[in-house]
Amino acid sequence: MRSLVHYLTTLLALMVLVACGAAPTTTPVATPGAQLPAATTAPTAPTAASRGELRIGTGLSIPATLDVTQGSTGFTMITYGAGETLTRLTPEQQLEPWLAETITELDPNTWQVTLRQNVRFHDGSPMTAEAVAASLQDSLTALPGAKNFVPADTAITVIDERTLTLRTPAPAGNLPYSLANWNFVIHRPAQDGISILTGMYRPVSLEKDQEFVLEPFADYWGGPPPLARLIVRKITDGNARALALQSGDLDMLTNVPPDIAASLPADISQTSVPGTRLHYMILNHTRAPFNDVKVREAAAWAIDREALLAATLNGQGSVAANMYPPSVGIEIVPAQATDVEKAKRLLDEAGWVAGADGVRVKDGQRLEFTLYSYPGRPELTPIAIAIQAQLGAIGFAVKVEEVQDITSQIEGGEFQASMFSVRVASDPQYMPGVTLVEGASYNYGGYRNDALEALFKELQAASDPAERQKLARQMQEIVAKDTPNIYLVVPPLITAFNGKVVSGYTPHPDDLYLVTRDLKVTR
Amino acid sequence: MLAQLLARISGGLLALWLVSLLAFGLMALAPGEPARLLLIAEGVTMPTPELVAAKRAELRLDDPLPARYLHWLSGALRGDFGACYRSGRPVWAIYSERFPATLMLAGLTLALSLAVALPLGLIAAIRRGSVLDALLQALAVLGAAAPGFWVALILMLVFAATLRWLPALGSPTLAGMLLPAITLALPNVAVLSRLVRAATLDVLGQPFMVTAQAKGYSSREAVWRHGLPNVWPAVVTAITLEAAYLLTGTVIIETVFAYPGVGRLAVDAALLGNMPVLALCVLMAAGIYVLGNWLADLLMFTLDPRVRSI
Repeated sequence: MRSLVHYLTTLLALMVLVACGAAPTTTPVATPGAQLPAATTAPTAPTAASRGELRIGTGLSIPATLDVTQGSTGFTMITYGAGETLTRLTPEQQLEPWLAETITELDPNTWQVTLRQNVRFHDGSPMTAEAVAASLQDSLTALPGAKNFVPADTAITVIDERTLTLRTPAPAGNLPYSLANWNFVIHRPAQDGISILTGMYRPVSLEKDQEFVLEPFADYWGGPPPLARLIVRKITDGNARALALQSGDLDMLTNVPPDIAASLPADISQTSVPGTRLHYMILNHTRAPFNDVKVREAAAWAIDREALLAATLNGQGSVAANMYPPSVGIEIVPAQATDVEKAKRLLDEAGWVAGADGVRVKDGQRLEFTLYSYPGRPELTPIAIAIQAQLGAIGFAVKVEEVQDITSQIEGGEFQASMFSVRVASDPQYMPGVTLVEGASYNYGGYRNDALEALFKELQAASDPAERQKLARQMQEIVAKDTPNIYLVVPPLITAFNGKVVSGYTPHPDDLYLVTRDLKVTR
Repeated sequence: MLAQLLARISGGLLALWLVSLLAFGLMALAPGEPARLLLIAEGVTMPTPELVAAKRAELRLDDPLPARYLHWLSGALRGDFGACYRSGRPVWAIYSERFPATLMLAGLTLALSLAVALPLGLIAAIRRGSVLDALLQALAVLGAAAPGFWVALILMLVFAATLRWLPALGSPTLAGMLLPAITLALPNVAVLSRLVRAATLDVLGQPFMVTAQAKGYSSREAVWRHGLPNVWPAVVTAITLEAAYLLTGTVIIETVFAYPGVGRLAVDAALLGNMPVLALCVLMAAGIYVLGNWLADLLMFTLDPRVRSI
């Protein structure tokens, strides 16, 4: 018979976990990056009335509040068609205006935004330049991640009813991209805890950690949306989610793990595209063994990324050859691939000779390191273990250690190498800006390269897209020569849905633009 | 007898007090700044150090631990268990919103368990040693051994995904409660039917049963009129404790079925580090168990004349 003791032990164990700071941490996500959109919708004449109810199941947290100035609510609001930004990215990762009609550079520090006409907020009030300026200011004040994209002391000035300017302290060529970030959802101050937004679906209720319900917004600038109701349910257990889709309790699942996707029956439609998240190994440049460029290079050449995909992600997703995922619309300079012979040669050249137990030695030092991982993304630790074997084959001794809170483990620089994962924005500036330049939020390994710093300054000031792409190429060439980190794989973004009921779903590298105008149900 | 009852009551209170110490201790040790978390939950987006300091003073977080414990305990005794770190609402309100769903599921589970376990146990006892008895015993072992989350997924696969008779996701409606209730009832049926069988066999061997049959009762009548009343006391304790277990919110099953009860509330609170909610769930669990134990004692006392004579 189960007893009080058993039950309380379980609950208290949970409490101890939390009390020890071992609560499962969310993946350190570089503030979810620039985003992707659905097809452009020219305002159409009102068509048929909204029909049908779409029920989406997710394993991700539903926010505790519907106020976009809190946490990552803005992200959720765009995902489910409630919130919109001034610009957005197409599935091909091209930037396009959304609530803005045009964004023009007046001078290197000043951008002028002209707003789309006839846009209304959910409370019926018109979207004026005044309201947009207040919204942007509110985002910069309230959301700590916002200043990673737009400088905190940007001056926002209303010119007239439809025009405003943004003046940045230093040249900011990436501003149009930055305004697509979810931190800048255009909103009016929340009423009853629900932000007033402009999207096609209006949030109506939230049951904490359970259910989020939206209804169509009749005055939407793009015409009445197709769904009569949208219900998002959080179901923690992945198998239960999959079964609920098969039983008809749900119509669609987001972020399906590859192993569960593989178990779904044939009559369930699935789309899988490489996402915008990049899994990589952070190397510490301030201590052995990775303070030696030859050792860094050797490790990068020795890793078989295809094998990592096959072993941990069911062969889905894609391999990463440089600091940008292939899905973010930036031309990749291939740098890191697999060549085991070359890896061995590099270690020989650097003076590492095989010892009796197969581990290489140099000046009495063994070629060994600890590779940290964390459970935030389920595939990270299996990848780390596969790397342990692959590097072991050329004479490394790798110890894999999983910790709960990776950030607190490595932020002091007390590590040799660590698994890490970042959601990458499609702006070339984002990845070097948060991971490689001096003082970057995720530059835990103390990397510094003067040539890269200079290129980054140029990139910050460049506003011409072709010029930005050229600078991104040059930066990747430095990464190819210097191997600051080891880039591994891009996990897939899998969506599963009942094809008999759901139509008009366009897969997107980024899960931010899940619900689009074309998404319909037929029942 | 009175001394025994008093001992029981004080033992229960002691257990509750110890659990309250544990719950408070863990809440005090948890990482994070409660004052800042609460300010954010109340809608202050970027709390200033001054605001945090003021809130700390208001919550008496700067007092020494024993004083903080007494403050928290006196609040708890008045029904004030603090505010949720995520919504700023009183945690008692959050808990009491979720409790009815758990109560309904527990009720349905117990009803199902009894409806199946009683006849099974009786039949097994009366047909002792038959193929049926062996089969029932095997089933009972299986039911007790199968892990709940696996049974839950199998039931979903069969009745929801394949046959489409029932929803896969739990909800506080009859259809939405059936699968979780069956999952929870299975191990119960296993345990209860064994208990009923053993108690019935025990009674069947008693001299008064022989007397009853000698009086000309058929064996079925004898079991019905004399046997069953003597089986109850043994089963009552088991049922009461099972009810207590179910009322604390079944953590795993509620999570798998996404059922909106207090078990899932506790899990979500644990995953998010929402300590006030978790502490209340722990306290309530202990309280429900202590009450369940007292109730079982009381029922034994009324049902079983032999206990009263002690």
